Amino acid sequence: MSFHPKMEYAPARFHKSARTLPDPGGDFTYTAENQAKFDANVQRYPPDQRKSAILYALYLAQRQQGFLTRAAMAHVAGQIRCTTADVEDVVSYYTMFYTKPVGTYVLNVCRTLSCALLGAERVTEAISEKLGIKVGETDASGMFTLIEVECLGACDRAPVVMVNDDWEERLAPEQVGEFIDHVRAKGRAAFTGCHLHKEK
Amino acid sequence: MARVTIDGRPYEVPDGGSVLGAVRAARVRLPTLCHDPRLAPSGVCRLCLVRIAGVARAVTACTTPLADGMDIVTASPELAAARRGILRMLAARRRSRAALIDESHPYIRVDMSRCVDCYRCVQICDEVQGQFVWHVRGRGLDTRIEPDGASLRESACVSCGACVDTCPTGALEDRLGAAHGAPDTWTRTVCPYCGVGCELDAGTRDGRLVAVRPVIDSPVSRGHLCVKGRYAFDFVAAGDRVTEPMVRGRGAWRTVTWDEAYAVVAARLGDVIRRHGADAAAVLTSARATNEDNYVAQKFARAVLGTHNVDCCARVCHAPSAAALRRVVGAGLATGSFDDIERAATLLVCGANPTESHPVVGARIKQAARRGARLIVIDPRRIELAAYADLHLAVRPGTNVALLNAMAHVVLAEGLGDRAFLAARTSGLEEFRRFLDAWPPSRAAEICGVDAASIRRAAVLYATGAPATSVHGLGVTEHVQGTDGVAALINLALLTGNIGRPGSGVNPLRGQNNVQGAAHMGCDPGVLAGSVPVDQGRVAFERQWGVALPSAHGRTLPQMLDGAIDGSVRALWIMGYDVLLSNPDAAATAQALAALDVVVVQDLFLTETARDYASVFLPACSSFEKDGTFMNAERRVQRVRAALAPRGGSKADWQIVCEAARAMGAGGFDYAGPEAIWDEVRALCAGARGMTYARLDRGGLQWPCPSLDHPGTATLHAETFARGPRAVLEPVPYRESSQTPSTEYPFQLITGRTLYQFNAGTMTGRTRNADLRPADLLDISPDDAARVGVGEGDAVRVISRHGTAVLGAHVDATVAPGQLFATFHQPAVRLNAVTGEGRDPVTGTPEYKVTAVRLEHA
Amino acid sequence: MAYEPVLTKHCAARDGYTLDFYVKNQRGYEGLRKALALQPNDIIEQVKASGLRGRGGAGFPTGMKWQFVLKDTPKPKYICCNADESEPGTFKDHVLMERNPHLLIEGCAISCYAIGAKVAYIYIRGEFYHVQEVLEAEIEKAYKAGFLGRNILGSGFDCDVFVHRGAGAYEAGEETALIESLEGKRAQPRIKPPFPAVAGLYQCPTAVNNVETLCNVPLIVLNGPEWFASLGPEKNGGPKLFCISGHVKRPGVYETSMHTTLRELVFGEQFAGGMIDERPFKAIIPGGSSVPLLLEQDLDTPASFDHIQKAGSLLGSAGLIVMNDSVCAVWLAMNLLHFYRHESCGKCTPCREGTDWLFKLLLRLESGDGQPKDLDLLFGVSTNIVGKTLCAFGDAAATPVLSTMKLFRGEYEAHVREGRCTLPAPWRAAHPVVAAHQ
Repeated sequence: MSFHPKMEYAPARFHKSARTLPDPGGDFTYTAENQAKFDANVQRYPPDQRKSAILYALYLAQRQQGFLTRAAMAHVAGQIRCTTADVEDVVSYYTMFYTKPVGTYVLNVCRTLSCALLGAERVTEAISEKLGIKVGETDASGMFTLIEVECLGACDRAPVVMVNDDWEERLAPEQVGEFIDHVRAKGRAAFTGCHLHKEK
Repeated sequence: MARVTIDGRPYEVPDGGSVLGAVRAARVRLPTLCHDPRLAPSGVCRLCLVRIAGVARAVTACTTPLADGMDIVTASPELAAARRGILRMLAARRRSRAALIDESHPYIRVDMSRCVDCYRCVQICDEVQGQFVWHVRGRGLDTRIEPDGASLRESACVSCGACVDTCPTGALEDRLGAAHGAPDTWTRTVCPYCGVGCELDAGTRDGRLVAVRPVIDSPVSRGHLCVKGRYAFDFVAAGDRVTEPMVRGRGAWRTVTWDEAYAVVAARLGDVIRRHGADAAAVLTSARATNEDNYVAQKFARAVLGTHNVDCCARVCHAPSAAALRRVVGAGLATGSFDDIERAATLLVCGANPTESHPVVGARIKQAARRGARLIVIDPRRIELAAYADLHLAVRPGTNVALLNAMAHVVLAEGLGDRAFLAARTSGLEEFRRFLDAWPPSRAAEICGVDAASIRRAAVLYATGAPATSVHGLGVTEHVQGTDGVAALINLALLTGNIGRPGSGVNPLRGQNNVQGAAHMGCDPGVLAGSVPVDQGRVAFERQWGVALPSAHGRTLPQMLDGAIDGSVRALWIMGYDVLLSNPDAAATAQALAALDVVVVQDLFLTETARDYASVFLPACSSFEKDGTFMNAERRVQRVRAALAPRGGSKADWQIVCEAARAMGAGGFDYAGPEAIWDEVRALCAGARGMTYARLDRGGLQWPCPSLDHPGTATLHAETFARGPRAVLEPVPYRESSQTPSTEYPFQLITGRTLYQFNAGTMTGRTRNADLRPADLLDISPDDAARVGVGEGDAVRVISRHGTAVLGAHVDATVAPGQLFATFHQPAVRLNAVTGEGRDPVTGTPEYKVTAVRLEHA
Repeated sequence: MAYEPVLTKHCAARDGYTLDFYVKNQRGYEGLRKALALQPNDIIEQVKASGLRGRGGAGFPTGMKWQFVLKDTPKPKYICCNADESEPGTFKDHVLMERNPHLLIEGCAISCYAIGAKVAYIYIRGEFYHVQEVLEAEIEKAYKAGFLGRNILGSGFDCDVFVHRGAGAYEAGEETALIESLEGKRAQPRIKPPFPAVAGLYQCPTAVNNVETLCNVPLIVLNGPEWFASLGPEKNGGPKLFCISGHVKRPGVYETSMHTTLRELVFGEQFAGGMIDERPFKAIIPGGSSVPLLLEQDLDTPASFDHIQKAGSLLGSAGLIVMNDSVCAVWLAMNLLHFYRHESCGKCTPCREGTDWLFKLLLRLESGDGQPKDLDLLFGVSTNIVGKTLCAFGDAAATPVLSTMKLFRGEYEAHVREGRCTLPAPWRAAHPVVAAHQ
């Protein structure tokens, strides 16, 4: 509907943007437990600096849902009191946030120099062959996602693979198959490769 | 000044800036991609790398503070290689990356394959407009710039075009004019829209206006514009522009020559005056016409027709501001300047929605608040600025006076007034105090719907945060207590010493680009040019014009229409004003117009008024096609320059009036051009004396500017008030509007402007702004929408005691329950059928801002 | 003279990380008690006198950094502990936080007192979650014991220490980018000036210090600046942690003085114990991936800031990456440029575009498609990055290329000449995965 009968412009028919948008996702709100955690964490920062808690807020959302949807980002934006677009900026910058579904276990293989010198490339290769997936993909069972990451700061324990938040250290290419089978069978109980675990 | 060496040569450059500033001042070439003087230096493109003696690393000139004695090298094989390397890499990546292409916006084309990641668009959207549309996503090579929504059209974009203006590569481009090629001529002029008065550069090619760009060094807009100034200029070439004079005979329009038209006008006006007297004729002028146009129009009324029946559309907007300011401090003008926004520690925005109605000022207020200035917003709606405010008082429509009185009460009760200022520069304090004793916040709270604690806090914020400036809009003036509302604001400023010093003041945000000028040029029945009351100026004007001025009082616009109905007014000359669409109580307006014997309309388009009621139509040219001056809301007189030749047979308003006057046998209307008219204004008005066209061509000057070496006046009333040494604190009793909700009419309707449309839509309705905001909408709170069963987009009938209008509903949480908001831009809706006959008794300004209505499904 | 560790002496003890153990065996929190009896400025003077240099990489004197922190301001001040240990080859802060967290906590508290701050944020990289859990639990205990919180040890001094988890960004280790990240933004560096000491976190005066740096503070207060300075060569005093990784028998974190030579660190029995399988030594990166390589002939250089610099490299973060003769120099540069390209924040042009160019050129050479002119281009792009970016990242990224080209030019030329990698090592994959965006 135009204002004047003699409007010289036809109704606009423009192309859609080529921008890729995050998965909208279903409704998202923190569980009561996560809300309490967030409320406690945000106290660490001055009252007018709630945005400082954004990484923490995103971790909570990611842990609750596995990955970050737009609905989750909008929820985080509400918590932080910023816009969803601001949250998207942050999510897109950091490597530890996922905007697509990932497997139950995300295998982050360190590929940087010290690990590479001790066979990290072959670890990736072995996982890839074992699961039949390429880097960045999730296997058919939905259990494993393979990701290559840069230096994890565990160079003395090379080659190292971070599985979710846990470290598997000195994981030789030859042990990969067995490790994956163990995780399949026993879940988290199979994570025995961290030095902290060994010390217990 | 700093002494520096650049590439081996000594230079003296202004100190305090950056190395880049020094290099540019020395006129040494140094390339940049990410630099823009409007933005904080970011140093990201790395093209302006220089070597400075004693500094180990090469540094970016834009981010390095200048120091006296610096030895700067801008050109060397190393630096040249670095620059070449950067450009080579930027050029190469176009091939290597998939990029966002977004054609969703009617004015802005996005092709990020041309982007060089200088982030200027991101910065300008944040730092100048404050809209935060552009976002940087990803990192490293995957860095991409995206709008905050799915597309630019669906984003928070307000279409100001600042990002396009700053983009160095064409990744962001204007769509308008693209088909006609780049402009070959740029003409600096003033925006044809609101009273902010932004300067702009109009770009033309082959006699066509193809682009508008902001002016970086404009003191008003500081390199910024809004969607209207920047993009809504296509009305100039609209297909239905009337370019030949027309006379209506037996209901049908007939195109005539100018001479025929003038003859008809002369004959018919002469006839009316002969039969009914000079006061049966009246002239309405336009706040979007130049000072020169308005000056000759009022001269025509007074000297040719012989009546003070001359008024302009200031009557329906800011006449109360002028009246109250004239009464209390002696000059009906803003007391301060827009620069006070940046100087103020506290900003009070009252009854105005600057981010939509005065967007460039709105952006400046937003940025001031972001930088830490206190911001208090008094407005029934939760307007955009409320989100940036320390305090938002959602006052019930029509109760400003009660609220402001209570704030004044707090200031006095808590001893927060400026004692020295009160003692030296005001009188009537004791009586005022006694009056205010009866206005504790608790009393106002009940009337205004704002809790007493917030009223108190607002008063404390305002009184303790000196300097404090207030800006107000039609939310203060368009009430039955319009003049009182402004007076109450002035009282608050007087109590706290916030008049006459930088960063303070009471500043009306004028609605149209020359509201201030039109009224100031004497298009007001009570005053002559220079805002001199008729009786004071009579001698001087009679001497200058060589005629005797009429003795009878003139009529204001509403009185003219009243006169039309009772038969005492028979002829109306309307310059650039769609009376039918703009005036309240459209049924009564139509009745008045229909009763007139002669209606002469001078406009660009066949407006609703002209279409239905004009007897003669005189085609005028737009402000892009003529010379002259506008006076903006901060009293700054700026040059309007012709960028185009008049379209077809159209003529400048001043020219039409002068030629008609001559056709009627009058002398004193043979001006060589606008400058000659302005020189006559200068001769009559002391405040304009120093503003020659020669000076104005170098930049605008703020009234008053009494001599050729006077710099203009940024702050009025610094030492003494225009009316004398003391301003009187006058009690302003509160009166309730008759438009209070009742069981029959349970809602209060507020009318106003939106960002994309302008008043009667005569101009914006003929641009692609109509795509961005296609229709008038009725904003209704979610609670009310649910209660009365109205959904988004439903057609709703709004019914008042005066009439009805049908428009689409928009459920909007910024509107308070019990209130409705609608725009009045669309002829088909004719919202002013609904608004009523309430008027401010001092000025006759209609009560647009509150009408009791009920809703029905349409 | 045998060196007695002071930072990591009890790291092997099973309960070495606990508060009780710390108080009993490391004179835990005595430094804090002593510090609170002094004037803040006295502590800054002591740290200056000790000659403590930042352990994060730049080696800037810590006392001076603190002295620059703006004093006359009503704004709060902050300590930001940089625990974003991300420099390839570096893993020392990890050990300190995991095995001796109270030393860091005490260091944070004393540093806050010294500069007039009331809050320290420990910015820990997201990948160190298991360390963070230990650290946060111990911070909790320190609060309970009255070493943190309100009115610490009855002194009237309040101090909070909070852990802030990053989320995967090497650039967050740059001090201004760390501050941005802590503010909830993208970890991109700011232009300087203003420096963090004037306008850092939340635009307030801020000192950003590395974990190891702050861990030295309680020791200086407790044992005196002279003791600290006497531990190492002139201007390189104090204990130092060295991270040794790569082709060595016993990779790990070793604490010693900066008198110790690189040869001792690589081959010494009490340190890394020599090369795996006794294969010949080829090169060492002595300070994390961002510093130039050193060769066999440089191994007798003491591992101090100044000596290593004299030898043509930098001690940086003391991350020693040792490589045997199976390592191809072109592959080495390519591996690191993959890292830098992935981690470039994208803010300034030479780094964002240049790291990609370098990686692609190296990939081309390594896969045998390189042209002779690629070598000049590689060199040219690198020199256009060094010293010309917004932060030090660009220098770091170009260094592996410039250093390997300088030392192993022959290998580059062989790649071009033979159209293949001349040193395909057995530990490399047959078909290496080349990830994301090419």
